[in-house]
Amino acid sequence: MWQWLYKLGSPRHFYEMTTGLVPWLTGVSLLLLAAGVVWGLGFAPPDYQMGDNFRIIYIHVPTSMCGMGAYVLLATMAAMHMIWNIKMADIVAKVSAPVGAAYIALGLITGALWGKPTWGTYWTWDARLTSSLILLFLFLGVMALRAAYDSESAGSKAASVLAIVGVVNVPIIYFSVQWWNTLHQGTSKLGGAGSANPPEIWIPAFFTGFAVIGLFFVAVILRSRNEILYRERRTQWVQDLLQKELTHA
Amino acid sequence: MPEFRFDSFSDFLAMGGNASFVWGSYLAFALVVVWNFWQPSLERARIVRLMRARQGKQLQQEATAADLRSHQSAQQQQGEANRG
Repeated sequence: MWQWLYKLGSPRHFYEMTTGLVPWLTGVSLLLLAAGVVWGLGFAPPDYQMGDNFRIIYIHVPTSMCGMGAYVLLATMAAMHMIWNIKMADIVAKVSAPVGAAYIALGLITGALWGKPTWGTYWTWDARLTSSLILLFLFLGVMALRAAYDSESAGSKAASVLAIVGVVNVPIIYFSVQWWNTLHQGTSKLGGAGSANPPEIWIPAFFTGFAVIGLFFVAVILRSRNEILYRERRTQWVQDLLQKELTHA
Repeated sequence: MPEFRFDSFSDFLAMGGNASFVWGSYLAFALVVVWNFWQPSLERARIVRLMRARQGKQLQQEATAADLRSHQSAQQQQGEANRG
């Protein structure tokens, strides 16, 4: 296990280990997504108050949660890079920022589209909404800070510090619905024992939930692989790999 | 087996009068999913192109250097011949 993790820290091993994983993870995620979306849009019973609007939940909840998870991943990788100087951690930190930003932006957009017919407004300065918007700005700030330096290592250090400091915002988002009197509803138990939802509502939510997480990791892995190729472009193994690809093409 | 909750396909598209909100959300998500596959494939093509160009440049430089060397040696030979 430790050896496996240790190997994952080496860009070359990461590249080689993910080559076979990507098609599988993509296939399983897309199948789950198709099943969850068809079920959620067509077969889940409409909500007794919100009608068909509630079907936005199958996108809104997983993308928002995955956006928060992405920030935790970003901050963890940034810390690992700062403490142990692991190259692969810096690569994952760099590529998870734009993907996470897209996810939390989706959470905000789908939330606005859900808010208009339900609350009567696209936006309100509610604690949950505001702290989620701050998370989007943190992602964008981390990306901009990295890009602002000419030196790659200086940029990655500055971005890492901001990423680590910004992680304080994640529990604020999570607990905002308890700490403040928000318009956004509190967390309710989605499924299983003790949930008010019948299985035909929560099963598709689990499908899209796992699909969204799977697709997040596919995006992070694909981008990491590109970053590895670029950073290691002068090494023999990358040259050999591309040579083989060019002759095959 | 769950049953289809709409009477017709047009009913399904209408989403109980909330079509733009529901379909808008799913469309935004679909765009991000597509972008998450598209961006890495464009980036990969860019890197391969970059490396190929660099490799081509390297070969060209080597060829130019070899050319120069042969030119110089030819000049030298000619100079020696003239002196002689």
